[in-house]
Amino acid sequence: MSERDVALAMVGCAGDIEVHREAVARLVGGVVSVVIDPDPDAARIMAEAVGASTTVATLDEAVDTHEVSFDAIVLRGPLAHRLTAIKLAALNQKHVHAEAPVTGSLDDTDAAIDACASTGVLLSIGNTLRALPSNRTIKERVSDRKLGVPGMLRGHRWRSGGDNGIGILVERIYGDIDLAAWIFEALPSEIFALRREEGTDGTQLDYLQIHLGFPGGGMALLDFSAALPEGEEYHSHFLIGSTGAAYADDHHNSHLLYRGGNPAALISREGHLRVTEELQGFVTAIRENAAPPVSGEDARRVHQIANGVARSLEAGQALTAKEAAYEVI
Amino acid sequence: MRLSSDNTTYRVAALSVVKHAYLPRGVIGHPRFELAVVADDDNQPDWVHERNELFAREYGVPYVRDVERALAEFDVQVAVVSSEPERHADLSVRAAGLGLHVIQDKPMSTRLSECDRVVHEVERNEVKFMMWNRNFLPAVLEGRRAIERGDIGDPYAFHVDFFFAKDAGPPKGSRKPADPPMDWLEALKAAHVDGSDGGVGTEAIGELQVEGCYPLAYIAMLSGACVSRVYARTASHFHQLHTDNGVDDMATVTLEMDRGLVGSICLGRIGVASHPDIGEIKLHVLGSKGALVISEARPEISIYYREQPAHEFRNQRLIDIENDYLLADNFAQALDTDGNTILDAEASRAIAAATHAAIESASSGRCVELS
Repeated sequence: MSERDVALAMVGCAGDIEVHREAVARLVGGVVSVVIDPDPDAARIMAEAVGASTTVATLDEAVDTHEVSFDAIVLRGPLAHRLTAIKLAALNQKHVHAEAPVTGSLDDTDAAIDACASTGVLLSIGNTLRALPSNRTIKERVSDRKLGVPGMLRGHRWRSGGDNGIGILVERIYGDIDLAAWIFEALPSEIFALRREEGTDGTQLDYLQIHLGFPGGGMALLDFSAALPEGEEYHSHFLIGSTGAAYADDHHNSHLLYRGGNPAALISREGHLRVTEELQGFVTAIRENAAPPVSGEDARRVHQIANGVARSLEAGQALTAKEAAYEVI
Repeated sequence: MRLSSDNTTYRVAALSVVKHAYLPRGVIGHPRFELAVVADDDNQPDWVHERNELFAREYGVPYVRDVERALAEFDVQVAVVSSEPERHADLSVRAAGLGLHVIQDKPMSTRLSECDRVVHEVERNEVKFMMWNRNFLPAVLEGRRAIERGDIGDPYAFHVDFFFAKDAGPPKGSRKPADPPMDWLEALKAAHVDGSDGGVGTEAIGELQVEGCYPLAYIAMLSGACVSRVYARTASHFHQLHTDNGVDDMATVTLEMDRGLVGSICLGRIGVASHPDIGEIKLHVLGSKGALVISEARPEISIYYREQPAHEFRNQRLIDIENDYLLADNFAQALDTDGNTILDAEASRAIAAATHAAIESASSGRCVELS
């Protein structure tokens, strides 16, 4: 790759405009040359934010027209269209940075991996929790053995908005499952999951709890709620290692707002830094012809685990890993 | 919370004070209770008698090396049991059998059959029983009040993290091949100096049994539900002592309870380096209309100074002593009114059953139903 900037096509405009404005402004060696979205207003607003000179409605159009030049796509938007987009990009020698969970299934993720491998383009994964400064710090401390051998990961992830039941399971749990697999550097050997969809009063609960065992005795316990009242989300996790521990907690990172009555919590989050880190990692991998920080194989692993979670939910029992799948013990 | 207002003073026999002296101190620190005697079985080893005598001397009461004689001769109404866990149930059964009310340290017993004996004897003699607990800590009561007010609607998920950031001797992996396994009793006797001796005895017990009572008691009180099924993972992850003796120092438990309620516990003795204070102890509760995040330690004050000892907590709890007073007061009220204690024999037995089911689940890898 020459010294010119890597030109990115942003496919799909859903999400925080300001986060992407900040992230792209900090990008070294990369620019966004085109924004692709069937909604022209959304495309225009995102293009203005990220400094793109062109907007088009579809990826097909972007590939077909000679007026639009890009080296790679940043793929966001509905899972249903992801595999088609990845195949099209790969066929046209465009590297791919796809937001997790990449596709909606393990089979489609495998197809995406194969499509990119067959033409030699990168498949990079974004929208994970790994790139958050808090989790990068945890991983660094694990890698330099300060925390010892990872023993226990606990996470709570609560939000509002509902999930119409569990929704697309892998989309909901991807970040935390990927984090666990990344920290423990393994697929879990045991999985137990339970859900509660409705409360005793008929309230929609959309609640999921996942309990993982890892080879060597490590364990993770994660719970997810999509039934908080409308408003701010809550995230909390900690990692206990054999010689140290790390705690990342909204409770700790809260300011207080007094407006009469009990104060409200204003939670300090990590802002644009995740997106910044991920886009830079992708651009750097392209420029240096290196492997991306998070690859298709990492996504594949999460889909495998998500399938195990689904199987445990269905069976109402704990599962153990047996070759390539999880089976009731 | 109504405090006891009767003036009756109950005389207390402390049956064995070999580990957590905070329990008898907590009881006799309340004006309704008066220590009359310390007692234990004569056939106990010297180290047991030494600790008992020290406690008796501190309070200026006799030490009697004969439990039944002490209970008969000293006009006591309440027995406080703080022996090794493997003797908890036996001492409680004997005291209840003589018509004494019992306050007992946790765990109820290392065996469910022994728990059943305690329940049976307490019921047969119509005496009161309370297992020592932390349910009256200010932060826990704050959470209970929020739930009772309906602040979060109907609660349906209860999660407790319960860690003691304490060492238990050398770290796992430190034993040389030629060294013998660490002796559980000797190690726990040595741990008495910093109060890390909750599992002292000839029988090694893991943290799920030593500590699990506390978070299970929180969940029982806040949910009002019984555990019906568990899935658990345990490991010896931190300490050579636990590894050598085949018991856990870390555990995660998924709980399924009555009425479709769910919960989880994460606990462990995680080493002094892993938290600036006693350890992360938090409650997370989800309800139909909201959620709660409670830090059990608060209110706290943070204190830092030059040459501060490494073992001194930087964040110090301010009013935890209230728990001891309120537990004793709760017991006094139960005696006065023939009411229930905050953690009676049946509830304590249920906690023990959940703990044993979790140990079984961790061993088998399967979910375990509770009868």
